[in-house]
Amino acid sequence: MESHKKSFTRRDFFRNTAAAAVGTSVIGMMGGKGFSQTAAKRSARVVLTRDEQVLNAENAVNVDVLKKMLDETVTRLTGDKNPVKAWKTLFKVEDTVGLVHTNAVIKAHQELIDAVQAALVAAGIPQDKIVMAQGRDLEKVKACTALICMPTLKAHWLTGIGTVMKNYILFSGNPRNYHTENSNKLGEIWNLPFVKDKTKLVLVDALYPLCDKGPQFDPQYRWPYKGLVAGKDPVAVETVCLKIITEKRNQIKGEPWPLSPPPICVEAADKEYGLGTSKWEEIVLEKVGWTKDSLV
Amino acid sequence: MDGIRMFARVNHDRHQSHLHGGFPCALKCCLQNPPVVLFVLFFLSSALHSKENPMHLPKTVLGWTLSDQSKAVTEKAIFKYMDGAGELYIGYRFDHLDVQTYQAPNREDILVELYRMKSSDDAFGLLSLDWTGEAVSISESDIPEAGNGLFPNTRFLYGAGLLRIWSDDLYARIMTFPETTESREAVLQIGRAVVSGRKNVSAPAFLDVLPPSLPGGWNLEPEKAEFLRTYLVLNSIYFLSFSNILDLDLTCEIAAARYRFQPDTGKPASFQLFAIGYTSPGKAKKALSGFHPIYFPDVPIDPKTGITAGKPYVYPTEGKWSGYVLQGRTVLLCFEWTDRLVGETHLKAIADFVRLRAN
Repeated sequence: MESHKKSFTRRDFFRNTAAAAVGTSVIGMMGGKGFSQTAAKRSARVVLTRDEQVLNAENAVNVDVLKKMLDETVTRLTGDKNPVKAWKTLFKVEDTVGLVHTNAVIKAHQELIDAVQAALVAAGIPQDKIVMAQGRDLEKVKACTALICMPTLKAHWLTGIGTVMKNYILFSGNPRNYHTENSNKLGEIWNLPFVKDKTKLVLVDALYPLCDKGPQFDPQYRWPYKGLVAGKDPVAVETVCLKIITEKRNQIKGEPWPLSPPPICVEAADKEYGLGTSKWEEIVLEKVGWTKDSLV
Repeated sequence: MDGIRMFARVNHDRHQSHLHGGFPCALKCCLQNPPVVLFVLFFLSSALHSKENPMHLPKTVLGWTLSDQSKAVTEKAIFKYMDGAGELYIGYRFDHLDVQTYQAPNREDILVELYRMKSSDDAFGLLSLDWTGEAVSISESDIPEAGNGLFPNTRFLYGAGLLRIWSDDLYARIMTFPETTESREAVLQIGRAVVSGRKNVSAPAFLDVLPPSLPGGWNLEPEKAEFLRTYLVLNSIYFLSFSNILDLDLTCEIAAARYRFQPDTGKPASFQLFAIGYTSPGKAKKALSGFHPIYFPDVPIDPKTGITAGKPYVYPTEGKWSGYVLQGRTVLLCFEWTDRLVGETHLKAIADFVRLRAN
């Protein structure tokens, strides 16, 4: 039998859940050193925008409604009421902006990608400076001065959640190294030299999410949430996404139905890699629009 | 070409003079013999057909047409095809995958994935990981497998555009998304074609280790039993550890189920059971000997006696109780009891049930 002396088990996870209330973490249990944090309390703003009309009965996107949602999201996030100016606070005209969207299986809606491109162009970014940067071609990412992380909201059968932190996995060059126990290392990809500090916006396509397993999906576990989840703090956005998935699962089963395996990448991104906050009390969640079944 | 040589051999005596006359003479002989011509044409057609259409699917279904592009995915190539999702199938005894697509103008494609497993048990296991969906009957000759309360009496589950099938050593996913009334019917018709002529095989015999009820009014949660082999799949239904702390591999058989207690008054309760069949009692004991110090590090086993077969071991775990008993080549492992005595009683009862079944 392989050596399991430091195996992270179910018991460790539940102990951590109990300990979280008193500020300890699972990272130490897994042998991580933890990211040193200042005593100052953190705060991260996340905007959740939903509109009942964005998808019709056949789940086709209403592009006009989607554009309004996007405008609302970015203006709320930046505090600038003018959408064009709001985008300009996030990106400079001289930027080369990479859109890193989910482009396999449960793909980000093309309409959302188009709307983001149009918004960037309206903000003065030339079309030829907007790059589809998802994938294994690292030269594309290296050429970008700014990134927009655009995953779809989805669970994953090996990492629990496969949304924000997992979105850059192909930049690692070896994605198989970041599943199961090693999913706690997903945060290190965000700190690669050609990725670090480039992500100016995290915009999650939560129009038609998946709440169980994935990437190979069962459509029974997709539902028209009709939302966008956005922020500058990737861990905070991931935390909100995690809550949406978890609450939907509980709703389906009528009792707690936790993600299995647990999504250890979220806390690790916070405590180990310092990418943002995974603490619900440090997240300022602004909910905009349709409120029915928001789950958060 | 082998068929042509075979047929030429059969007719050797009759046409020997023509064969000795060289290929042109042999060809002339064949062409003068209509049955030979028909046989050759049929064989060539079948060879080409099976390569493009390994399941002999219908060419058209309700306006959808079978693409002439098919794909055979081996174990080595499965990650390229489906990234990390491939681990699920590797977690069972996977042989290969045949992929075909139906297309129609202005409609979503229908994806047909035929997972060829090395045994019927493995194909069943894949279906068992999720029993939700509508149990559909898609074949007049289908004899639903009697679940006996362990699982639904069906081999076919449909939901929201996805049809999942267990047919002997085949697990199939036929999916279109989003679904329409027409696409649902098309998917079901394709499913019918997939299983046509295939034999119905019983569910894994190992599931018989699950007792239908336990002392104190506890009952098996109906129609939810699962069959699996490896730790990654186990983690997807009930996280235990990111490491393989139970020494599981493709030679193992695991029956998983929940048991529930519903009192007339008071709070209901449930616990999780994994019955793990190893290839020998020695392997089972060895696996437990490795598992115990990892999962119950605060209660070391007496090194003189080791783990005693038939003896229940129950320990507190974060507000509840977990434990195991070794019965022959089977480890019975349970989690989430709220009472130690209940746990010990259950383990003894399950062990007795397994022992009697083995005898």
